[in-house]
Amino acid sequence: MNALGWGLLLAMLLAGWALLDGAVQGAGQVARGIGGRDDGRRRLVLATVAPFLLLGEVWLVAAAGVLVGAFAHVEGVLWRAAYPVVVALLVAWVVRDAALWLRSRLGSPRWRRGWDAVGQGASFAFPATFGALAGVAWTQLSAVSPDVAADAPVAVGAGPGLARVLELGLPVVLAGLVALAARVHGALVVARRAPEGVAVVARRRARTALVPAAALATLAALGALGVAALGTTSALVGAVVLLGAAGAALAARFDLDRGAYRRPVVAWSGPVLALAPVVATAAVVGPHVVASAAPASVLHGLTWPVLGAFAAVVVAQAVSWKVLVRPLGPRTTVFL
Amino acid sequence: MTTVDAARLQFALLAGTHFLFVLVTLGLGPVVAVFQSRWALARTPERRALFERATRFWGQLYLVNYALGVAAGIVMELQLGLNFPGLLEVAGGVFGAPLVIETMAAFFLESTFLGLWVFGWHVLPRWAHTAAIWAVVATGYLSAFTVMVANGFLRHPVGFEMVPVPGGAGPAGGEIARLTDAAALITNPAAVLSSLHVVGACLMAGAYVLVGVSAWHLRRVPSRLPAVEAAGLPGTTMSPENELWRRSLRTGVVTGTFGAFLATGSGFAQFTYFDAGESVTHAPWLIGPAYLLMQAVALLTFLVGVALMLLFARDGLFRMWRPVRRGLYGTLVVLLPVPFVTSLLGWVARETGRQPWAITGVLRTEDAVTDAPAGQVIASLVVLMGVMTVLAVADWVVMGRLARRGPERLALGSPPADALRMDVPHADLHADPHEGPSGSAALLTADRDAVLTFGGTR
Ligand code: HDD
Ligand code: HEM
Ligand code: HEM
Repeated sequence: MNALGWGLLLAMLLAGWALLDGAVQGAGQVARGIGGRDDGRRRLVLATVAPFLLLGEVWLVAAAGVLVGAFAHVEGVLWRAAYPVVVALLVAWVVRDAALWLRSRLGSPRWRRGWDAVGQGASFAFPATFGALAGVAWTQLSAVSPDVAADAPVAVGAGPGLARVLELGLPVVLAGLVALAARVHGALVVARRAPEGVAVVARRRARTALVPAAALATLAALGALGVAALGTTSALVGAVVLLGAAGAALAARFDLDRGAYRRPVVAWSGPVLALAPVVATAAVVGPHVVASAAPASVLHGLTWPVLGAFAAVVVAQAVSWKVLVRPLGPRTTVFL
Repeated sequence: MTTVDAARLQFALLAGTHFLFVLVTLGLGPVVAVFQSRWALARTPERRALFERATRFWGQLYLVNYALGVAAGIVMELQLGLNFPGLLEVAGGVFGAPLVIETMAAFFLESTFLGLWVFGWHVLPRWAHTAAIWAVVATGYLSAFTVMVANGFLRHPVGFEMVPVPGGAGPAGGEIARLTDAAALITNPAAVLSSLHVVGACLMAGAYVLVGVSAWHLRRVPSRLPAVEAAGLPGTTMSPENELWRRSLRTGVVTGTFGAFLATGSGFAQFTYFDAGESVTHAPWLIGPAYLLMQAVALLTFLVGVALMLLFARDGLFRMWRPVRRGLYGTLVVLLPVPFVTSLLGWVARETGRQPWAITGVLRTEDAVTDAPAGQVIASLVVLMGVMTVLAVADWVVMGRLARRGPERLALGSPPADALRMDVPHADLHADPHEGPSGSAALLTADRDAVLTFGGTR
């Protein structure tokens, strides 16, 4: 597999994570609000996404593995530029996991409420720090960075001022976007899988996040245009994708306001919002990332083991999804 | 403190934390799988009930441990590149390879199968569910081996050559490592022997947990049914709970003795691929004593294990004079941390013995470290270690409570309605939700009960 193939694999792993773990993050953000003081109902919300947890977060672990193996240079640049963000990401991730696994292990209401509050914060911070990291990547691994700009085609009349704005703004915008996208996506997954009484409240949570998400997606699209103006033309694709996501979010809000929550645009708005930042990031940083992949000999040596493993994983996950994703009922396992 | 010191300390502390969980994951996993297999194969209802309880009780401890093990592993994966970018820059093509395989093959599959095991409990047929836990164990061992291949390369690099990079500069004098012989990398004695050694240590750790927890319960539970005693009958008729602890204790003793045997054999074999005398000089006050402690623990565990196994004959152990028996149980409980402390010292010996090299003879630690300012690394050390310590302690507190609670009110594998009702205070069921049209509270509560007791939602 050549560098492009590895880049696609990396993007695919990140997309899988955004989709699967995004549902857990979103549910973690809204579980307290939906459940209120009723512990059983909060657990019901968590139970709707519980199977996604173990099967979802590994996609990001695997993406980190691919980064180490095939794009060590990219990892080096990114980690150096965003050291505190990476540490924050780790903390948020670890705390989120601990909150989910530990909350129901003891019976004390205080223990549970405490972890739920912690889990809510961490479920927001986890996607947000990932978004911030993506924002740093946009500026470090595209023509915004002077190191990269040297070999970018042309800079059409945009200057260091724009670069500075992008450097400051993109991490913030993307942090908010990824966190809100997870909220919409997770709340809609809960709404689809939970009984109607809970679903109503979940949809309301998704609804209020849609407009801010659309606004942030639009801002991010403007950022992508800025990156394109500085010379990374592939960022245009990112802008288009983000605008599409913003449109989908607004359409979903329109339909939810009409009570037409069964329309496909509502069903799709969650996944579209969750995936858009990842796809846009791939578009913005893709050319530079692929260009700075490990030497061909390294990539070559790893190809078959990794593709073989990936095939095995896809089969195992497909089987698991078939087994685990079914309507809640008397045979649902409640562990979280 | 310099950047190098902070980065090393951070790595050591976080790796040590991760390893404390890994010890239990790898040590307890096979035991849970064996219990579940015996449950699946049991013919009589009593045996089925016994092994179901054993599977669920130890499986729940395994899971609670696993949750933080994964979290700590995630931290490991990312902090490696964070603090030692030079390692990947110079040897990414060699050292990175097992780590990619580990994440793509081992962890990915392991996590997937674990999800299947936990959440497929009442859904999968018994045999498939048992296969899932075996798959978790197998992929867990595979992941440990791939990590040891990576670590073995640092300790005793083989199967590579150094080639100049075009730019000519870099942490290792302008050269990077290229893999020339994957088979040599995998069969590196520093990977194979050390993996066996680590497996020995893990089995011992799992065994000490089994034995310690069981002994704690046996010390409290009356060893004979009151009715039997009242009737003045001899013998050891057991309550089912008692039977669970005896069975677990026996399993633990056998596992631990085997683990000690494995650790001893592979432990001495390790002296063949590196110069122990040379290693000791790096920290004589630490490494020498660590070797001695490991040998003493392995020897004593093996000897005591064999003695206990002899006492199992005709249940002799459980029928000993009561004060002796209680004293023995108490000792076994207190000894629980021994393999954990020993393993940490073993690791410190291994990693410190490698200094000043990050990759022996190839890359110095100080050249591999990040160029981030020391303050930044120290800050991340404090933050990450602070968070990990709090979470780890919370996890161990929970494990301690669950271990003491015994096989009552197990969440793992209980029907959902039981799991949800189990420890929810009743008043909470009728509390108002934060929001919603009036009247929806009652609806939600009724709804939930319907879902959890009767049927599907669509
Ligand atoms: C319960 C734990 C335990 C026990 C009883 C032993 N070990 Fe061990 N030892 C470990 C746990 C451990 C470990 C934590 O798992 C290490 C760290 C790195 C490794 O591969 O295993 C280790 C490393 C380690 C090393 C360092 C290898 C290196 O520097 O590359 C040596 C020389 C030994 N051991 C030797 C022994 C001997 C001769 C033992 C018994 C006769 C023994 N160990 C028992
Ligand atoms: C540089 C050192 C290490 C790194 C980078 C690392 C990385 C990781 C990661 C990312 C995970 C989480 C996987 C998931 O999400 O399922 C994990 C878990 C695990 N690691 Fe490590 N690890 C290291 C050291 C070790 C060692 C020394 C062993 C054993 C010898 C080990 C064995 C395991 C096992 C069995 C798990 C599965 C669950 C658990 O932690 O309890 N790891 N590790
Ligand atoms: C899980 C148990 C482990 C423990 C307790 C442990 C402990 C330590 C200690 C004490 C140090 C500092 C050494 C010194 O500065 O004197 C260290 C450094 C390091 N270890 Fe480990 N280690 C473990 C596993 C691993 C594994 C599995 C790997 C690789 C895959 C690894 C890679 C490193 C690296 C890269 C450093 C920093 C560079 C260096 O000091 O050489 N460690 N570790």
